[in-house]
Amino acid sequence: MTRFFARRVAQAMLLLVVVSAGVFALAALAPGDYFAELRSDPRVDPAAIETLRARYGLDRPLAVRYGVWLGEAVRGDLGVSLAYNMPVTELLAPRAGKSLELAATAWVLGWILSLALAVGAAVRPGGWMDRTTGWLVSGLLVLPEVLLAPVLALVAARTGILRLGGFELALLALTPGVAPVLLRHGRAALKEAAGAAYVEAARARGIAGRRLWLVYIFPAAANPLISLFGMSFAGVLSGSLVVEAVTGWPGMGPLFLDSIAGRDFYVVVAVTLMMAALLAAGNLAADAMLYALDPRLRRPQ
Amino acid sequence: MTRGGGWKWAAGVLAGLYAAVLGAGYLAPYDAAEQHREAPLVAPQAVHFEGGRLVVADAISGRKVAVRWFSGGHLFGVEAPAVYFPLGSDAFGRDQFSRMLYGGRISLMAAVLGALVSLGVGLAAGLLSALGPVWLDALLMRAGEVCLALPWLYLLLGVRAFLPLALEPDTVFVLFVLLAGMLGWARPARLFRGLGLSLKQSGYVEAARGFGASRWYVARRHMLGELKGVLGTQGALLVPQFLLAEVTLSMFGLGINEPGVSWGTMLDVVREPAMLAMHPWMALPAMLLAPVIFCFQLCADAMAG
Repeated sequence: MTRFFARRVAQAMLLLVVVSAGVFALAALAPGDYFAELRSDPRVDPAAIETLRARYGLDRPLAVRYGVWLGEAVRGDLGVSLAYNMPVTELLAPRAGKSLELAATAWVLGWILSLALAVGAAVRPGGWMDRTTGWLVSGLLVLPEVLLAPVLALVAARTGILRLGGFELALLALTPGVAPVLLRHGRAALKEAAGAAYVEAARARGIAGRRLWLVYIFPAAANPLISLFGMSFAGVLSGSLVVEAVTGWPGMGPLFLDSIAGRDFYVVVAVTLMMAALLAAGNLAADAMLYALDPRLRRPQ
Repeated sequence: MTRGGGWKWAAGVLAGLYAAVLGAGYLAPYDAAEQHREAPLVAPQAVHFEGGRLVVADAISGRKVAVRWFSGGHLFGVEAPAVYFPLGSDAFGRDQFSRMLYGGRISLMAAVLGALVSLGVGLAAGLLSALGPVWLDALLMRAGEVCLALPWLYLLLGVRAFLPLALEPDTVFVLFVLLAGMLGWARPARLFRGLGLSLKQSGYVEAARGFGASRWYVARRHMLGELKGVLGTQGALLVPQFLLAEVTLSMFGLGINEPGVSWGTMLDVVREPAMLAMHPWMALPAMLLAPVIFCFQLCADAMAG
């Protein structure tokens, strides 16, 4: 067990190092930096710009910068925001909290809704629930956040039913995007499990109702769903960026967009890395669940 | 889900749409960049039928003018100095209808080209993984996991962050196609790898190998044909994703930029909901996304089934 997890944790760490190195390497290809704009201003002494760049370590070679940054990042210091002139961690923490609050709520809500509907569809294949969820999947797939968020923001601004920048509006714009993928896979997995031969055999032995679903069908259907765990959260985070920026929810999305436009180097790196860390954590959690549910993984090979 | 011949309609609609954006020069009454500063933010204008002719109100003076067909190299329009905006105008008095056609050209083309690039890279990587040496397989699949592990939008924006902000629209177009294609290769690659592996075990491939056929001969001759259907389905699924990616990037000012026009650049207004609330027709390009995605989905379903 410890070996299984030690390997997974090591893989996650490697992922974070690869992502951060990749982002740093990209920075080397980029022309200009945060202080490039100052250079076009004749009133600013070029020496002063060089001093500023030196203060933030932008004058050193890339490998050195990455080494220094990595050493500090391991200790929880992600550098300084050039635009806000404050530590990146202090800048990001409240916004990351807001983003997580929104994304996690939408994600949980999406899972609950899709699982409930998927069970409804699997109980009676070909029934009205099954057909409705089939259409719901295609219906929701054509409503991406890029479309839903502006429409809801428009409704909010015109009617005042929902408040711009409020949690409900953001949640309403984000949740529908989570559901279709989960619903489609959940429906397929549950249907497949419910139609398996051993379920038929269990039915023949007189096992029915809740016991049949909880003991025979769910555990078998859980496997493919758990592997969706991490990926579905990645989807929510992407959607969340759009929703936050359009509806005005003060999460990481708007900050990320501003930091890209403003060439706020360390903030861009930190946000990208935070996303990778979140996903790595999500995948680890999924692995732990798989380990708990799938006896095949526990058997030594 | 059975949908019968629905996909034929969907394919027809898509073909029509692509033809329309390619023929924007004729169908659009104005050029995408043509400004009429006297008539900014005009709401979509109704068409009236009077005396056997179509009549519209001049967006500047309000006088009634007749719609002229097939004149001046355009399908329809009104005689200058009058202007007519079927779907309204933006803050610079540019015709939204014309911009939607010219913008669709960029958005829809970028989506298709991006999908082609990522399919090509994905196919190559998948087959290399399935047929190549084990270490290459491991390397490619790990690299793919990194691409899949990150939220695609953050990944795309993260990469975009390190390109110059002010770029020529044409450069952005090429960059977008390449970047999106490079970042989207992982999912098709995994699929093609799985299919390649299962085909590798099939009787006829083994027989061909037994006759001394090389791996690449087998890949070309025996596998590609089998993969065609999957390629089509994947393509139809990828195009809407890249369409959304372009719209999202441009919407936030990080994709196609002025003077270029795409559905995304037209939608940058959504970042100011108060502005949008006063001029809701500015969000019309977003409304086009739903039917386009739906049609691509119907085609993907039909090809999968």
